[in-house]
Amino acid sequence: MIGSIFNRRKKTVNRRAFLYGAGGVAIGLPFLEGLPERSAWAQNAQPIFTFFMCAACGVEPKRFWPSGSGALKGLLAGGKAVDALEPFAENLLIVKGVNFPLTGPTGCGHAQGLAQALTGKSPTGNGGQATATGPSIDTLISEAANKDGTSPMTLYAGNLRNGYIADRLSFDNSGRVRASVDNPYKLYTALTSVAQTGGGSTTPPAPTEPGTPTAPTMQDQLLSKRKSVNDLVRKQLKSLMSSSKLSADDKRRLEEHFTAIRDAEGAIMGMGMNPTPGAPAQVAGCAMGSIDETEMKGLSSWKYNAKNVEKGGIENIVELHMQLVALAFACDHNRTGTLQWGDGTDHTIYETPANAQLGNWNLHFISHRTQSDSGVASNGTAETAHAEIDAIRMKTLARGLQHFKDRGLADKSVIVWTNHVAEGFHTMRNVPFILWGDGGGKLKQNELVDAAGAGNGALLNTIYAAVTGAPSGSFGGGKELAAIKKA
Amino acid sequence: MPVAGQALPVDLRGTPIYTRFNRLTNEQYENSARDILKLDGPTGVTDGFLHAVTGVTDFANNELVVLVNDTVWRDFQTAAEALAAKVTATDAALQAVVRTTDVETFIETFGRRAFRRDLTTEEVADYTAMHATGTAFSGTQSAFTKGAALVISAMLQSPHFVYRTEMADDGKPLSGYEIAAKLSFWLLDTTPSDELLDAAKNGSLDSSENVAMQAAEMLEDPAARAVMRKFHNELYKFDLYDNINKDMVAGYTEALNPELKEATYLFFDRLFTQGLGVKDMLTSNVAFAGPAMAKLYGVTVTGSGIQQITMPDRIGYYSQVPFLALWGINNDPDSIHRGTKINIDTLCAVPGMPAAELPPVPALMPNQTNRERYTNLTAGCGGACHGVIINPIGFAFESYDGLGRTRATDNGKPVDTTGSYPFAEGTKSFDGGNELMQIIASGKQAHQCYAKKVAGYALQRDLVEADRPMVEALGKVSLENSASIKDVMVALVKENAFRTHVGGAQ
Repeated sequence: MIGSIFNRRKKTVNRRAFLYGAGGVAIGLPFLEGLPERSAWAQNAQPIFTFFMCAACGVEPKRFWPSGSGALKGLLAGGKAVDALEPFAENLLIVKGVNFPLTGPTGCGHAQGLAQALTGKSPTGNGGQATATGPSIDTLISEAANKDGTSPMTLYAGNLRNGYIADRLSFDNSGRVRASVDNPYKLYTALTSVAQTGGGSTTPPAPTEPGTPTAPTMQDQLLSKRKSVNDLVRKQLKSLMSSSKLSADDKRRLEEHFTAIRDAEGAIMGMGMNPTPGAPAQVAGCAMGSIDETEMKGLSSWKYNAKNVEKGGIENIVELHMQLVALAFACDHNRTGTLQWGDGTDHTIYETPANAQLGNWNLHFISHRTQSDSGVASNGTAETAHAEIDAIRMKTLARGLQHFKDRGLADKSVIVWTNHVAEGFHTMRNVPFILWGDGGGKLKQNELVDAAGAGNGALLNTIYAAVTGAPSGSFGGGKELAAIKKA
Repeated sequence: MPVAGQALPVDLRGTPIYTRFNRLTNEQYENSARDILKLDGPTGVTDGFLHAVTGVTDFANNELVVLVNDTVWRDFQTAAEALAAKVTATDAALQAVVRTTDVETFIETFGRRAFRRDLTTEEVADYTAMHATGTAFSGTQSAFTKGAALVISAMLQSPHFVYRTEMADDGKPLSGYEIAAKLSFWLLDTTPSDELLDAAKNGSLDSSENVAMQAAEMLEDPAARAVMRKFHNELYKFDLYDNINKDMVAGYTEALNPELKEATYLFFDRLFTQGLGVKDMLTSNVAFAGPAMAKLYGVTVTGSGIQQITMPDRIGYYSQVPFLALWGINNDPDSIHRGTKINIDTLCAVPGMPAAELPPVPALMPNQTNRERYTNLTAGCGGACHGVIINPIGFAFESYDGLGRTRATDNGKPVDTTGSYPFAEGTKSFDGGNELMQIIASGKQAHQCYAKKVAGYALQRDLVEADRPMVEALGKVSLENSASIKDVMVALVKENAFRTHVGGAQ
């Protein structure tokens, strides 16, 4: 009886069912083996993947931006931080002259900067509680491009327990910050683990006689159990939602819960993961590749380290996140995501020559050019330290981009690097934007572009239009930034 | 915007939604799973759970940030499956959870623990069917145990487990079971005990006096101390002590940070466990210090651990080294932040919006004091806030340097710690942190502010103007009786805001 149910389901269940969201007690089936599935990618239009990273505390502009203008190839050898990106020049688009809507923050501008970096809207509130006044671009792209309602990947590299400003980049709506995942191990397990048995034995089913129905596998059993549980949970939620006592907020809360179950199931049944015979070559990147599984597993007990150490420090975590996101894109696990690269007032200590002279200040102090979260000063050594940190971050970005390049994603993605302030103390004019990937042929490549004071909303809207095929009125009043569009 | 001579009231400008469905926090899920499954220690299943967003509400258990999205749902699903597998690995293991092999008995007994109430007939039928489904899966266990595994997994994913519900009509008393859950999750961070559920069922929690007695008893549980550690950390942001960075200041090394943090925890532990209250927080001369911190206080301690000390010539948390060191720029007092933090955290007086693009803090001029520097800096557009409420309080601590050491002079001139502030009882003048703290401790605002924070944490929501009578009543308890933190918490459970479902637009 059960076996026949499973046999029917087996035609439609793809193995991503087990790869997505199945953490816990893995039973260690090899990656990408054993589960039959269709390839949605082979059947549908080419998805365009987007990943938005927002670093902390601005840059030191004099030693960050490339000199000159026009084609980047040749500009990235002038002793600037972005020189590290030279190997990627042909797919790069560096945009200067972009302003945030609120160009002059009120008080501590870090949360304000984060709240407008990917929303293109002026934030509300100030200090550590400032928040967004609209959804961020990953939310809107997710709604348009992710099948089955899958939420965007929301990642973090930094100290979530910093006591002031942590999650503040991805918003599912006005004022609603999306919580992030700081440990790459979680995404790794989502991508690689195979489900636990949920109480049953891990013993494989006994062999059957030829011609008899195939015994359900453990994976089949897990899916069946989940369906039984989900059905009952849905029934209970519906019963609760039918109460006349509920406020609109409570109805919405339970509806979101209800939808979350559907989304998780959708993720299970949805997008393709495994190239089937005849599938296009672009999915060849869907393999573990250079991912060091031992290193990833070693992160299971990872804790934030305030120093940028080689293993487990913020830059290492950024690269590991990028490595996994590249895999997730190559396997069409998710089509968009964000990475908050540092806290609002990032206290990471980068050990650089100039910072050694300072006595190893944290990044926030360096960006203020004084040992203070509030004061600002002029300090040439701190400026140099900031430039050195910019160079370190650009090298990290380069290593991360290599993972996307290796998986053949240059013509099917847009990877964005920006900052939540422009430079030094909280200014929000001329915020750096670095884009890699042509967004499916829609964006200029190998160019340094001056946006001449355009809002980041227009830039976001252009990316949104490239990815989804339709401009969004949510950003920049629906305007696009023509300067970055391919003619 | 502050006006000279006018007190800023305790700020009650929240945006509550008065949810009937407070999702368990990760800690509450972890502890509840341990308790209902009768496990000896932490399960660890919540270690990788998605956290609640911090910083946008006063506390991370606020209804606005503890939600269920698809990531959280997958966390719950995975955890429930892992826990069910763990406690049904063998038939004997399951018997440690509920000692029975009768399906209905199992469902009713375990279900009552999980849902924190008796199950309805329909629910028993649903889970009986679920049990039957579970028996058909593979495994070496008995059919009963395999069925129980699916029931446990299903119950741990049920909205009746993952939400603490309040289904009473608006303004009407919560059921005994709902009160039991509200008390237990607040005070102990876990699900109600079987005994508390029994008390709820027999009506023992139907009167406010009984609820208060129950709360007082629960506050003696060691788990309450852990809850209050978390509460005070979120309120006063002790995690910031990890971030102090003063490499160029003599007397400071990074190794001091954990000592500053733990000493602070111990101070608040003492207040809570020793029956002390807001007045003691502001005026006690007791502190904690290890050898390195003791030097900063000018005292000596024996041994290497953190010990209780008596501070010479200073009183209260805000005169302690950790707070003063955190809010110091190198070795200079960070007067603005010292003043701002005390206004916001202890008086609930929220200054207006800071000016756009704040100017840098200039270097000290020859013969200029730190106070003079900040006075000049804030005399312009920020003067309305700084001059009236921020600077006066910050300047009261000018006699402590950026590492919290006592100082009599600043840049060669005597420190000036005088000031005045528009308290609720009227503008009062003071000279130094000790006088300021005595004034604050004897006024109503700090007591109301602390009451507001306690209530916000307990009710898991923002407070609004409609809550002011409660805040004033609790503040009065704290002030007039020099009451303990526990007294304020017990008084809160008698309030309608705790005992009823406060719903809708208030």
